[in-house]
Amino acid sequence: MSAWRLAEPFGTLIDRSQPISFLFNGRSLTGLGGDTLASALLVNGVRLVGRSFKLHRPRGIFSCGIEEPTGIVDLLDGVRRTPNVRSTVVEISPGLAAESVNCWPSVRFDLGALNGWFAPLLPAGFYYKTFKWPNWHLFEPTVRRMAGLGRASLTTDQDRYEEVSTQVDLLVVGGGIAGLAAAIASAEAGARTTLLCAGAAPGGGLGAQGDPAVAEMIAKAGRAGVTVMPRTLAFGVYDHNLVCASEQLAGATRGPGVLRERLWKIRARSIIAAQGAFERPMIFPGNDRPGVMLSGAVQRYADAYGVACGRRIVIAANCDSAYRVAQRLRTAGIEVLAVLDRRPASHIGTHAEGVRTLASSGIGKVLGASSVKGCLTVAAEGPSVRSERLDCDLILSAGGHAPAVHLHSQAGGKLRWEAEASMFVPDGPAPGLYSVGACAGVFSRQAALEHAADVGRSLALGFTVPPAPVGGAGRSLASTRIAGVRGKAFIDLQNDVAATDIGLAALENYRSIEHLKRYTTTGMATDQGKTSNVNALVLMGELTQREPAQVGTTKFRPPFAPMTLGTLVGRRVGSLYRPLKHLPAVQWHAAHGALFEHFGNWSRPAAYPLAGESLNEAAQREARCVRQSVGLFDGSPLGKLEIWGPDAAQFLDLMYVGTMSTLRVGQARYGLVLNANGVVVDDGIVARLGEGHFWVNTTSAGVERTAAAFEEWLQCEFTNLKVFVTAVTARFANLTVSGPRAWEALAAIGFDAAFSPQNMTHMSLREGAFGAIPLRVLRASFTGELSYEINLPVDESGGLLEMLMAAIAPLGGCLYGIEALEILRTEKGYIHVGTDTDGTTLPGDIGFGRAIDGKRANFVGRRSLLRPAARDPQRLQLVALSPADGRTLLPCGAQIAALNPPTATEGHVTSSYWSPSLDAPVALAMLARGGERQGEHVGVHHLGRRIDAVVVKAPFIDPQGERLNG
Amino acid sequence: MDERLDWEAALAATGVTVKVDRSVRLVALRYFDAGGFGERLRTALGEGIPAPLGFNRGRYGAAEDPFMLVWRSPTECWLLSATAAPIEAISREIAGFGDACLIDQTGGILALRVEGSRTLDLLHRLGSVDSVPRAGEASTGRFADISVTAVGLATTEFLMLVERGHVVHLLGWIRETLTDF
Repeated sequence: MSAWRLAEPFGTLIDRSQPISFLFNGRSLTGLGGDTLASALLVNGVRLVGRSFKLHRPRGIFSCGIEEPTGIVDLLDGVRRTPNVRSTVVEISPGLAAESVNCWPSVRFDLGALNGWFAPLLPAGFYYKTFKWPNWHLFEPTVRRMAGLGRASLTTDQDRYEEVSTQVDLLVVGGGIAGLAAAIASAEAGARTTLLCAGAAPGGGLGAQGDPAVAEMIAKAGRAGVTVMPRTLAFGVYDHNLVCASEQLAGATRGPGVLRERLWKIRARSIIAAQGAFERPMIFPGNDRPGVMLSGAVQRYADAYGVACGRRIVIAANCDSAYRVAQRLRTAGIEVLAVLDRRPASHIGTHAEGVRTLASSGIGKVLGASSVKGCLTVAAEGPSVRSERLDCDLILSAGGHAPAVHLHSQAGGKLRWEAEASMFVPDGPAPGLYSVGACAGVFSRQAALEHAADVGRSLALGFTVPPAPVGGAGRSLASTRIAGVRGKAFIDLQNDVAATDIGLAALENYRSIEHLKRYTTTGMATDQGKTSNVNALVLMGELTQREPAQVGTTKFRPPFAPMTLGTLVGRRVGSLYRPLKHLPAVQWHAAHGALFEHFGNWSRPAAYPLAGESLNEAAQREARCVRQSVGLFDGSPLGKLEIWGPDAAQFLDLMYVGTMSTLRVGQARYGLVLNANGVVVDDGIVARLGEGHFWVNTTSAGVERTAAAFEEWLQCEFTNLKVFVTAVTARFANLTVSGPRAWEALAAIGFDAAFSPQNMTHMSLREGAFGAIPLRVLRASFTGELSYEINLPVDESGGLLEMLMAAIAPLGGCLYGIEALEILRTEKGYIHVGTDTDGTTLPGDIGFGRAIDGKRANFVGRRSLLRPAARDPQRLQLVALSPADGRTLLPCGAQIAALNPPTATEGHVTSSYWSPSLDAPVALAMLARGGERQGEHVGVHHLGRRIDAVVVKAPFIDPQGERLNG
Repeated sequence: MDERLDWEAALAATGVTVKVDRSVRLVALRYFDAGGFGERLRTALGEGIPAPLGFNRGRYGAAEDPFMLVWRSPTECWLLSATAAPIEAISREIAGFGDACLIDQTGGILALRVEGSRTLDLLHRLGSVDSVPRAGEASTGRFADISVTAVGLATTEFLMLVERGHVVHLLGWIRETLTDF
């Protein structure tokens, strides 16, 4: 394949005055402004671009667009590496560097090519049948090393990405003549119209030929007010006419830290798809050789980039468009040796002047090892007919067309098989989406222009949309191969799926096209079968005596073309990876040495390590301090709801396992929230503020879902109840002072004696004030010590923290974080919903069986608790565990079983800490029949190690609860 | 995350400024009977419950304290005011009224004032275009992956009402976006 740059008028997209240097595999090459990497490689005579996935066969450029299956490279820019980029869609820019994929040590001499020697041992699905003996893990590292094409970057992506939302009346996807016609008509009819164009400019293939009518259409679109978005590819259609598109903003080699890609989320009243059609390759032995290219691609390289991809060409054809390509290339001075047409003469609807045509014939063999040197012809009647050698440096493959029905299908549209042209076309419009031009199966220029304009105008004005005048492509045979020809003919060039692989699948009784795809891997990877799917399904049909329509297509799913993860992620990196809430006094805690970690959807102090102290050491010190003196904890994330209304008490009785209607004003009670299945989903404390007014604490992470569940029950089931549920978590800070000297600390800064332990009992709430600060003080404890949960207006938290800190310091007190709290509550045997419970835990499993039995009123989940499974004595039940040796920490998540594995598990450890107060480990676990196994020894298994443990009685500390009162 | 992000400082880029407005007091008004409560609201403040997805602006008393009522749901609207007077007025009006209550959310819900010629450009980069209310409207939607009630004061001026815990996240997203303006 000896390429060269054609003179004008060829090369409509390039700037001949702008030479650009770039690197390919370390070699400096020069292209022109407007060149894609593929066109620049071709004009520089680069035939071998990469290696195939499985057999490491040599691969070159095959197409000229997003469908490219073989011309895949990794782009490099300093430390940045973008893998698996299609060279056909990358514009070259100064400093661009590209590297071949899937080869070592070089693309020319690739050791992986040895796979080719073993090709007969590597048929479709070989990996499902091998690597079993002696053990899969023996092969796993090698298989993993060999998997994939390019190499992902090992460094953080320095580029920036954003997403933008917009709304239009009419969105036209595709900038060819049909898309332009539709957009112009729509805009002229008054609709806000946007046209997405994947390339640098609209115009499509005809525009690349310099057709003046197309230039006039582009100008007309501008005058009509069409918003044209170049380099923007629509890759998905979602519910309610939402189209997502990716806009390329920066050149591939611009420095890091620039805004690189933009994700557009476009809500359109109507969508017009005008994405054209993909060319279907011919199937013949050696059709994967560098130098075999799609015919339309070769023409586009000539028209748009002024690149003649070869000097002497042969065209393997199955459609009339091959002759137009031949004619066009001849005008460029390229010698067309012959068109080998798979079809009988009666099917051929056109001809190319001065070009030899051989009907009912094809290619029997491609000559040349790593590039095309020639080919041998073969007659459709079979190899028995005399073969002819044609010395060419380029073979064009023109098997017909496959309309780009992807967006139509994503939108829920149906397809039908058009037998004459052998293609799937939209069977009417999809909901909200209308196809025009080649992607609707309309290949006649005039018909496409008129239909597209009609559709655009009709949608803008609300008229009925006319059906597509499908046709104009001529006749093509469904099968693009000549049966009986020997040699490896490829269906999927990227995944090395040969016709024989499809045959093997058929032999093994695969029938579903979805199963075929997964078994053979045809249609997978970066091109998603844009050049292989139709050939695969047609061949599958042939082999199983079915028509293509009976075989059907695989499901079309987004994305239409590969997207970078950056485009999809947008701003959600680093600190914006997910929304985290921050404490109102975050700066105060940071100044006091807080080590922040993520708990639920909050960033909270895990501990306050002193210099040289680890997190664990800090947590141990803090927990010990709370037990011995006093600790200060910022519990502001604790979920807080105000339940208000004349039926509030009745409603809370329905929502909680406990009975809340009997609470007196100022009294508080612990309760469990269940879902309809009786599963524990949250817990907390309910306190009565007034006759119809309650204060509800939920877990920190559970407040949104609990409030939503309350609201759902009110709106859907208990519609007769007059109750408001209002979340006030953000309004109130919560500062908890806990420890035997807690009241001493509060009294020291002047808290009213009404809050003293003598005047305010455990599980009570008192409204009052501290100076001018209104307070809601709850005497409840998650540490097992005398505790005051002080709820106050959020803006006052910083000031009160400062005062409380000053008050506890002389008492030997300290700040404590979540880690210390976890130790303290585990010592007391208090559960943490979501840690000690899971999606199967019922109240009876955690010791609330009697509470359920004792409650006469109905509550959510009650009926489910009456099911036999809920009363199964084998259920996992909460227990306390101690290691038999009194020293070994039981790993969280470790499985409990009487015998060594493999054996049935009896439960698992849910919480486990070293208790600084006991100087021994403490643990909670869920254990089958746990309630009746106190004193029993069990085996705790972790990573092949068995630890003997004893089921003990909880709590580990203060079983009488005397410390709660100070 | 920079835990010490100073969110009280204004963020600005060409054509847009974002600032947390600490002068805003905010209370949630909850009511079962919109008709009856609307009358009481009108009696107290001279403005009734806003239309769905709308907001009303008014002035209260001799001092003409400005306030705003923002529709949230069929049983809730928010009263925003720079002074306590309008809040005290409605509080007095509904005292003992068993069908409505007032819940103070001041400090818990913060107001970000976004203004400038490129305000919409910014908002369309924070959330779906469907979530951005038109001028004269107010709606709750997803911005920067969190729930925000946006009030369209004008085409170039919006209030974003957001839970306090999420302010650092929202401002972080805005700061990143403005970097690319």
